[in-house]
Amino acid sequence: MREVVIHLLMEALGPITHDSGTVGNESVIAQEPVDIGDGVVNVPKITGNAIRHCCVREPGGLWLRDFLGFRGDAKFATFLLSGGQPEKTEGENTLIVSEMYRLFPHFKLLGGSVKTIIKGQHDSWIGALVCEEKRRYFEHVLPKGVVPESRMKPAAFWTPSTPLQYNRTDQSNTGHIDKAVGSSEMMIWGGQYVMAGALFHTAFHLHRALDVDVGALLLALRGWQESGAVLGGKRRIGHGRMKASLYAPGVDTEKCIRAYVDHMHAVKQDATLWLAGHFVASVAGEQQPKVKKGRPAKQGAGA
Amino acid sequence: MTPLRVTVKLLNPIAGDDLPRLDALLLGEVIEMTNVPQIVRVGRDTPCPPAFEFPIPIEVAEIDGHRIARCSSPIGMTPKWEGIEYIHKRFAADAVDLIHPDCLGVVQTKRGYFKGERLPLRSRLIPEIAWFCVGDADPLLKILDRVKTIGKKRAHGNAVVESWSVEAVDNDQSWFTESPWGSVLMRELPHSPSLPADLCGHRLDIGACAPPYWHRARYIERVSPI
Repeated sequence: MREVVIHLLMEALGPITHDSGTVGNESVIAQEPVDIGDGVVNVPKITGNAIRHCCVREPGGLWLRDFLGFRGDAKFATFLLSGGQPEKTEGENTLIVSEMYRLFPHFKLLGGSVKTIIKGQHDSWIGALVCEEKRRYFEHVLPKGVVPESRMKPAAFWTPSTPLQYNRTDQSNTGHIDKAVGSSEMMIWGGQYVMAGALFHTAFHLHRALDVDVGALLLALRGWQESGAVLGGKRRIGHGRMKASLYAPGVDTEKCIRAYVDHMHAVKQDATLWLAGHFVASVAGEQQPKVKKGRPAKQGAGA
Repeated sequence: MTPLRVTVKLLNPIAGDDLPRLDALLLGEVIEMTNVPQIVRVGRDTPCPPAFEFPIPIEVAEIDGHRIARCSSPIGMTPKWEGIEYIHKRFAADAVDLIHPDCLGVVQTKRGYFKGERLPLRSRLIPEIAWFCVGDADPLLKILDRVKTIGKKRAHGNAVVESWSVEAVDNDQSWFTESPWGSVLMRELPHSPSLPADLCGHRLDIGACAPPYWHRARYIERVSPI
């Protein structure tokens, strides 16, 4: 068991719009405050929650679904895609923790809630924009030379001051003009974005990791890259596309992935039974015919 | 064991209302290092283990039968920025291919198990946090160097540690520090007659004085720094 840190550098191939809210009809991108000595400036970021979900939880979970061929109840879908929900339990069931860690390195990384709340064994870092303001951060988290000096430009360079603007549709082709008022009924929308060419960095810190755990993470990252490596919002109109590259010193990527796949082959039957035990039995219970509620019919009504 | 000041420098904002306590942080790491998480796993419904069952490189003293670490509460620099972040979660209704055909149907997302979340999380940019303690500097630094992130939502990349430093100080300020008004309280301690008569800078409340601080079995009447 060891501590492993896997770095991921992501170059934006299109506009990145990982939003945190709206002002009027303009969206505002997520930003983090950075102390630059004589003040604090806001710099675009991709939240750790989004990185964790899009790069690890979703692709890794979907690989498991395809590998095991397992379909469960709605709780299973929630568990696979967001870790489930805490439920009222009677104590901490360490047997569940131990079995889940043994059978599913993917779930061991992420944790979740299966009758008991189970801690994950990895930290996803924030997707930090490579920029001048974050120089101190990158000097600390990455060896010199990994981030090209040419990318160390002010954050404002990567976030154009003119927001993106879209209309709901091309008004000239639709005739959706309010004749009485003489103005369009279409709304302009858009907002801030990080331009293509910007570089983001994130990292995954695995605690007490075995090769199979590292393999689970790497396979998920590979799945994410193969599915287009998309992060952030407005994906349906081509935003958020990334070109990702791994920096994992001391990690044999292929060996770890092979170890994970071999492990899953070895425990396939047990893993399926474990899932069935937790996410199908509850369905059978829920689907019992329900007693019809409401006021009982009056006996002898109208007599 | 000598009086020390432990300082951590952070690279990005720390999440949560409370800053982390040094004794809890060390105990958590020591337990991780022993590789027996399932044995020492403690929940709200399970009995609380004796305080400091695993030794940490900080002196543990007894006050009124309670074992308390000789380390102060966290002292954070004035935040340079403060805000609220939101953690979202929702039921992925589009993921129907994960659900068995027999299980398809209406899912109640306005309440209950599948209810969506938008949880607010306090976030502060605090460049440095310090603790005063009595302990062994070298083993302390060895354990702390393993800690790469602190605070709440560590798994989401908050409060990445830039560096830890442990330096010797002249006076022990772990529980009290001298002032013209009397002994200023530096951490939560059990409310008892053995506290200094000239104690100041405190209030009376109910809570824990030893990790796990969130466990109700640890709750006692205590004095807390204001």
